Amino acid sequence: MPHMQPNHRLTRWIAATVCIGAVLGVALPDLARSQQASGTPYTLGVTYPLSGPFGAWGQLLVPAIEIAADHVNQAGGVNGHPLKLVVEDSKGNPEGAISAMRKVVQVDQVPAILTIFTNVVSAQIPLTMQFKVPIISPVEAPGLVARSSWAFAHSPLLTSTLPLLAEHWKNTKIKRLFAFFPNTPIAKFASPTTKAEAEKLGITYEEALFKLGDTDFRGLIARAKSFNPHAILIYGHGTPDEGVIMKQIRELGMNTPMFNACACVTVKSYRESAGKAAVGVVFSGFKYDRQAAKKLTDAYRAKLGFDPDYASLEVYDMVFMIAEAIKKYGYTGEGIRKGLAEVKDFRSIGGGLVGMDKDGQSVVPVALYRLTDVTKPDFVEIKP
Amino acid sequence: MMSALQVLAIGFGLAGYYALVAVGFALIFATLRIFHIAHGTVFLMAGYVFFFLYRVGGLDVVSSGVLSVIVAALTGLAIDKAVYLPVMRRGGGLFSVFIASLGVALIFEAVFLVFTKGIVTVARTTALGIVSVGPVAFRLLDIFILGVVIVVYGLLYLWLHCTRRGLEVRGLTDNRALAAVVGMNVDQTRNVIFLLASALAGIAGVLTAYDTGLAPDTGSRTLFIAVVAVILGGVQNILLGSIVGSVSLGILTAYAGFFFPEWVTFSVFAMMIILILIRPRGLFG
Repeated sequence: MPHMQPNHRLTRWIAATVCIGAVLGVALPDLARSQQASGTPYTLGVTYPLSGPFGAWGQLLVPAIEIAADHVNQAGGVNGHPLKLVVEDSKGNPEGAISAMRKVVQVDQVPAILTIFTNVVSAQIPLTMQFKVPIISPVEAPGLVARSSWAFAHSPLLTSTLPLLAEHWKNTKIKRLFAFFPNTPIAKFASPTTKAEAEKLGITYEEALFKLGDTDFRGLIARAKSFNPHAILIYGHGTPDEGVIMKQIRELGMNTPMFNACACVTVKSYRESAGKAAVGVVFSGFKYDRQAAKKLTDAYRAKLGFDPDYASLEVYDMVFMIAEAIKKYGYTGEGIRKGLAEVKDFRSIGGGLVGMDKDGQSVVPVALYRLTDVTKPDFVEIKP
Repeated sequence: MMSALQVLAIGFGLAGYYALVAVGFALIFATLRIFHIAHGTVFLMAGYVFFFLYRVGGLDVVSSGVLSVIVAALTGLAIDKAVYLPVMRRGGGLFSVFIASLGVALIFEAVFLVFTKGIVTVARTTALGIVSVGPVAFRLLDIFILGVVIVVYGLLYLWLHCTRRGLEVRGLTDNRALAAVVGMNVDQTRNVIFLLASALAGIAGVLTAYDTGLAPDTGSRTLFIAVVAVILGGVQNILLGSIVGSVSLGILTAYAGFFFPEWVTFSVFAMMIILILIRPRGLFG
């Protein structure tokens, strides 16, 4: 056997090292990925409006849900299983809601659904009990999710945001209040709740219902103008219609302070429709720390080119709540229902701690804000 | 009193839009006997093109508006050439053309729905300037629209009464068969009518996209009121009938929106039915 030359030995060592390096270089990331989430995907249903008057919401919130699922998967998935989303257009109406829910449950076999809007949730609640599939949404209607132990909501209720505004009205000596609500089921609770709050303060109250999808609200605004209000409350589903109303209020020469009982005014489609008319609007809503939400904000900005709104934080939280529920009780409708009902001291992406009450409604921190810049957007927390 | 004046100001603003759409519809219906439902489509096409050029593309407002009106005019002409004329050449009567027009309108509405997802699109993000006279606020855009209506109607009057083509159009309105017999170039006049009427709908579409914004059904909703305005005013008197009908409906819809917003459509129909019962040919028919 010929004696091996030293330079040949070195070459072999280098070649062997390169080969091992190459093999490890290719294999390790795969190995790491497989440790992250190697199992069959856990599928969740998303029944959001992608068209119609509510369509803008779906286009803004579904990306936040997708980001949350990505973040869960990047952190190893749920018990090693990646989360997968099946998105169906609910069209924001009861018919679309039922059809979308039937599709994701009966065809895609999902054990839990993320959904949105009072009229959609109202239509889906009977099916949750029939299918034994829990739904979770950011609806703000008091008592809505209490109708079923399979329905959950993660958002501040009007009954928690309105008192902040009422305190502000009291401190600023508001005596006449005019409110705008959409002619949808949301008005059924928003109207009497607001009226009761106003009467409690001795405020003279008047209201008008507007039709979603309309573009000219000047007739109603002229009615508001004739009432000579000291304050105007605009509260609905956070659709662009409300922004248009704000703009048309200013264009009818009214300088009356405007209020919103949710943080909808931070939503891009809302801000764009309102334009500068929204500057100075005082709103009460989900209290969150934008620094704490940086992980979501950065990913959302990279995906859509602008910052997420408060509701994106809520839906982001919901995905993590479901993931936690699956980890605890398994990938079944019953397991997820049980896990959601037990949510306690959940750290929201907005920074605060969240717990689920006995009705399946999350208890979240709320605050009062004033919108200072409509483009960025920028808003400052104010005292009532 | 203040409210009444404010609502009246809103009504005149609305009347401007109705008048621009109504006069184009009346021009086509009175001369060619085509119940041009797709006139609302032309209106919408201009609005969406304007939105795309101005808001999305960043083109200046005047160029965007002019290009959009040109697209509207060509769209109207294309609908006539591609749909109405072939139907008529194959022996289709007025009802067939009406159904074809309805089909065109529905197809375009569905296409707009697919692209916009039914979300209201407003071409401007800035606030409109206003002039306040006491407690009544007038939007500068409404004043501009009324100015446009006055200029358009004035030019149309001159065109109809002082030009040979205008005379031919009036001839078609009075007696279409006779107009052809006396050697009038009906096809050429037809083209001019479609181009002109569609351009007027285009102007209204652009202004609406800039003002309140568009949804896929805005065209049909605006056309519906414009058609009632034409019927109210009287089909045979294109200019006077359209303007009187439009102003009446502008004021009516503004007051209905103030007092009972859920009943705006009802009030428009009720007024039409009552007037037709009293004067079947309209106010100036």
